[in-house]
Amino acid sequence: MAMDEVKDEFLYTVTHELRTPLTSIRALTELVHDNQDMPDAKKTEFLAAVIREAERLSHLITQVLKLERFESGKQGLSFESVSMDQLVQELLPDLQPLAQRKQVRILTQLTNPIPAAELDPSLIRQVWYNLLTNAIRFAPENSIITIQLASTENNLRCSIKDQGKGIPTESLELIFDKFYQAPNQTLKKPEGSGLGLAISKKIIELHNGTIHAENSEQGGACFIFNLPISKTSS
Amino acid sequence: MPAKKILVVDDDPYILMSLEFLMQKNGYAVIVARNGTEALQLVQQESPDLVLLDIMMPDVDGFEICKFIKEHPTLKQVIVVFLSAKTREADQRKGLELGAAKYVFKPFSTRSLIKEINQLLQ
Repeated sequence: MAMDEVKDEFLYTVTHELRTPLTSIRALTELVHDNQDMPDAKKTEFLAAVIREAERLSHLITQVLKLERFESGKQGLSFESVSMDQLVQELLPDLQPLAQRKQVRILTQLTNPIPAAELDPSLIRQVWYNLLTNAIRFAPENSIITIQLASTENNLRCSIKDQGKGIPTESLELIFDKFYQAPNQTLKKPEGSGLGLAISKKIIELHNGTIHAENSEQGGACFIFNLPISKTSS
Repeated sequence: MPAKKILVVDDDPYILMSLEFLMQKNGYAVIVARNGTEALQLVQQESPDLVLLDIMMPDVDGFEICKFIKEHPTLKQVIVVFLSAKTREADQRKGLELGAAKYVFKPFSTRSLIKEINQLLQ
């Protein structure tokens, strides 16, 4: 596909994705407006949905702009020496409310002492956040998500494993594409923007790292990313 | 005369919620399907008068459902109206060629949608 066609296709997909929350917002507000006799409980339910859909719309716009910055090369990296273990521990409390709603426990395992790595902490935090919110979304209730950190001479290896139903084999690579949805999902969104994994992949690649997904033998999906420990070792 | 029956198919819970309210408010009996598989079951089980059909769904898409309905010996008279965020002319043409009575773009106005539905079910 020529560059223009790729851009057109992306633009079409984005507008398509924007139309969906806009549809709910328009329909629900029109109904509240046109039906003065609507019971209060119904009105509250509809307006709460309007608020959620407006939030989804702004999240989507933020994500699209973020991705555009990465893809156009406008996003620079601010490298710092970071303890990955500490970065993860600091991030987990933000995810607790989401995890607790599903009674999901998040365990962290270190297979060896993890050396500090040179990376952009705020961007890597976004990757963890995206992968962990995804894992929680697809994890069954009362299950465990396992984070593993390991290091070799030059690389950090980070993985996140859930106990969900896994990813269809044919989708393992496609899930990093923008707006891709695996066919075994029965309910679409509304939580995600469909861009989280595409953004995560871009961030890891900007660090000269790699990311992929696989299904673990016990069932469940596992996302693994490798990052060079120092900028020069990449 | 019993109320006319409408099957609403959409995988977005909020769109479903608004359409269900709109149709009930206008005196129709409403059944909802949250995905394509459910839609295929319900259309056979309930023989609705009209189906409001989303296109992009993760399991079976709306085009396939419309094709199924229009090729089915006893269901082919069921009126199909597509409601879709797919706004390319080619998609609209495909929807109408498959036998849909209307192809409405999302976001739609509930006010004009109900007028169109009322006309189709007169």
